[in-house]
Amino acid sequence: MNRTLRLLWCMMVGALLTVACTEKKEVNVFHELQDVQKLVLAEMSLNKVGTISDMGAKGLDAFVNEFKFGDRIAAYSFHTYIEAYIDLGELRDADVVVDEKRKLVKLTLPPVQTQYIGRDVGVTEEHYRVSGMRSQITAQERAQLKDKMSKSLREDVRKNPEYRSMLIKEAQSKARGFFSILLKDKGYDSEITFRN
Amino acid sequence: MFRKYIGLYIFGALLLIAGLLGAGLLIWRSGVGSTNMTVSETRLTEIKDMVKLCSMEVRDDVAIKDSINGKWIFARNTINGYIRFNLENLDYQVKNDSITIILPPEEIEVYESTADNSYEVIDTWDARFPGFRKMTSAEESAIKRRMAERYKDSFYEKGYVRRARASAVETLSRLLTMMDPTITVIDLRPEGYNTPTTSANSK
Repeated sequence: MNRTLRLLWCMMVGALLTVACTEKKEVNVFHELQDVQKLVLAEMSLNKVGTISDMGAKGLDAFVNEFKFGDRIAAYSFHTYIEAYIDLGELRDADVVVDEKRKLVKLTLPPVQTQYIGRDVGVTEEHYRVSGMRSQITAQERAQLKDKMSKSLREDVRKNPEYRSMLIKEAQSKARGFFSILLKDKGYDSEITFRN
Repeated sequence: MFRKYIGLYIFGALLLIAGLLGAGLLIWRSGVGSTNMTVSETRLTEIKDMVKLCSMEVRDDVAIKDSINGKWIFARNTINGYIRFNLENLDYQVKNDSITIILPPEEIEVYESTADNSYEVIDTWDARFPGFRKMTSAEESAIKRRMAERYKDSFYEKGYVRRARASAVETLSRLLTMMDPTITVIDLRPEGYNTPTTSANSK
């Protein structure tokens, strides 16, 4: 009798564990903390609009769409940000040369670098129309669209170097302005250049 | 005679029902698959100039489990956090021949990472009867902004702000004394200026 009960108990626990294991979904977690010395001089914001709709479907999907009642279309947008900075950790004592006679400071700054700092946490809904028997747009679909939009944006920026060069020019101009005013206040003229 | 064919009629009717059910299932299942996603050209919105010292960068995978209007979401989000100091219009005091610069308030900025799969929605559900409602983008964005605010608050609790401020004093002192050895940088609020929940901006 006891053996039968034990067997039954094991079977029940086994079944429960199987259910629990199949429903569990892995969430990868990472954490990265970094002390940096970046002097941020300019920031660029880029915008993308993405749509979710039945229009443009091909093959069997287009045929199936003919049988559906109503429409399903939505458009979303968000901003992505790129910053231009100089790494002050790369600044050496020899980069600052002071000529007391001529009251002139020659300053050689580290090269201006750029990096993606991120994108908006939320999205802006530009348009939404779901009618008839059609299902609402899901959070999963929006996440997929956001991913696709980010990939496309990175590709656009990679193909068009004008984006980064505009940002770098703006950053260099800001750095020249900032350091020359700082030195002017101390009674020095300045010559500011950037390392390559 | 009639009996001979009744089986055939029933079989035909069952076949028809099965066919209709199959077609219905095909259309129902294709609800998402047949959806087309298109992306517009990238548009440059703005270039802002600034002088900000960034002394800390944090990247985290954050689990979101939250609800709004009875609708729940469980997702994973990769977040970038930055602690920055605005160096334009610095506060300073002049005493004898030396200048003392006061470290400005920290600005904490939180963004979603642009890396692939930075935002993954694992599950969404409606806890209210009859349970058919879907989460709207406005509700989803509100939950994510709430997460960003909590994330910023955690920078104070974990001591990141204190560490970033100490590092900023060191970097700024080094930069400014290279140009003028009489400059000193001090921090009047090593724990930070902004109290949690009112700190900085999230985009």
